[in-house]
Amino acid sequence: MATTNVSSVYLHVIDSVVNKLREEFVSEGVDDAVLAELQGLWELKMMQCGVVQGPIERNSTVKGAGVPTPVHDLNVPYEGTEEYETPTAEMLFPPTPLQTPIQTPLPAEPTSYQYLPASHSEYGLVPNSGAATDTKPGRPAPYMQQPSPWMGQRPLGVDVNVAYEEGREEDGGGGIAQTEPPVKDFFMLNSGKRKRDDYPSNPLPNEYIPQQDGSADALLESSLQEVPVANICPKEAHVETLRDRLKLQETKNIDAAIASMVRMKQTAITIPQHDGYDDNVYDNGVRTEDYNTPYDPATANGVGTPIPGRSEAVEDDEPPLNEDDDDDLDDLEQGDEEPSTSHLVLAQFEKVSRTKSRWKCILKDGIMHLNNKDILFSKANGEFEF
Amino acid sequence: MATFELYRRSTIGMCLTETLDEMVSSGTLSPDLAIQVLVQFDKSMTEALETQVKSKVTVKGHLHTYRFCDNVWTFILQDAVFKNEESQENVGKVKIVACDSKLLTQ
Repeated sequence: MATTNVSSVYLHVIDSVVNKLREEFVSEGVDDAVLAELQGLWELKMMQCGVVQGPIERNSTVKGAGVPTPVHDLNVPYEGTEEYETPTAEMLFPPTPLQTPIQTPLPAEPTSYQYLPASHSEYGLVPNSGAATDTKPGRPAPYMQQPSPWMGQRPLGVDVNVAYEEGREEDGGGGIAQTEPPVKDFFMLNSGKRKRDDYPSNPLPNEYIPQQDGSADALLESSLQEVPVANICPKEAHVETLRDRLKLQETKNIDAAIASMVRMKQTAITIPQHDGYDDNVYDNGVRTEDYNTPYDPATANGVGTPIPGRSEAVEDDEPPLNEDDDDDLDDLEQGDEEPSTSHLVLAQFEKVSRTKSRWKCILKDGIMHLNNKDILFSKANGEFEF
Repeated sequence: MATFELYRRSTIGMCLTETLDEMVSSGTLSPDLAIQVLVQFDKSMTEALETQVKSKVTVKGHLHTYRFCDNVWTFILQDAVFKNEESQENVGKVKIVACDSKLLTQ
């Protein structure tokens, strides 16, 4: 009984809507067949939902809709052209008019519900597009690889210590590239003079590294002296000047060797940054890339350890992330309400009151969807306990 | 006359919305006209509920969540029982959305 009542009310609504819109459709120059199609589709969907039963009533309404159509068929050719014109123009901008013109004073909930899918997709797109734009600025990073020779600049600090003697003597503070050749020249000259080919090769295998950082230099030099002295003395007994030259030569050779080693390392960029974050990115040698492509490592490496420098990139990402967070919250809420959305009551309230944890409400003109059944009521008394 | 869009979330309203979406996307109906249809539905549905429906319902249950925002009450009931003259429905969880009826009379 209840369902039949409901279906009759629904059919009444459909008839009412269709009949009242007929004038609008005519004034808009839209063929009545469109209205009939609307009614047919609407009722079909209602039937599929199992909300409307009586096909008899539906037939009668269809007949009612069918009557005017032949009358308007006379105008079909003329109206047809208009039909073709209007839809094409309107199809270009379907979403905006759909969303904006709703001005009826209903609170946000129903509208948000109705257009949730659209808005969700929109919001879903925004982060994506934003991410896409993010990647673009990130991609220039590959270009950064070209100036990789600059990599030599950062180690400068190390090189300067190694090669600063030549720099002082010849260039007086030139660039590394300039200081390097002199090192070789010295090497050649010295080796030619002294015929001490062993010396340059020896120190490195011994892993002797000159510590000319200002502390304990003397000690190192003395140790350095001892080694050559032991070898030299038997052959060339003279002079400390020779010693000094040898020392100089040796240190230069060693410096050159170390510089070359450092250079090797830098050019190969084999300095491993195993700090757990962006290890691969460092291998590319461009740090700025990290900031521009913040989510690359996240997707590629899946490494979650945060780095202080990274926070900037994270901040850049935050707007979309925030929305995602909101979505998550919404999802949680929806998770709570999902079962309830399948059971839904839409009504108007006349009075809502509370006494301690006891709520009373008087509702009217409601549509309930409970257990896959639609039930209508003109009045409902609710007593809830919170 | 002011109307509620509230009822568009009902079964009949969703069916109408789907229909309008299809017809607008296929080009047989203009978006403006579709909006007019929805507005007319708001009116007709409200009117039909006022004039065609007489039944009364009692609702009892545990109030899980209540919210009053923008003149809309939202209740989420647990273990709710809906009774009318003919039948009774037991629902584990149900959401009630109610607009202020006074807004219509203004």
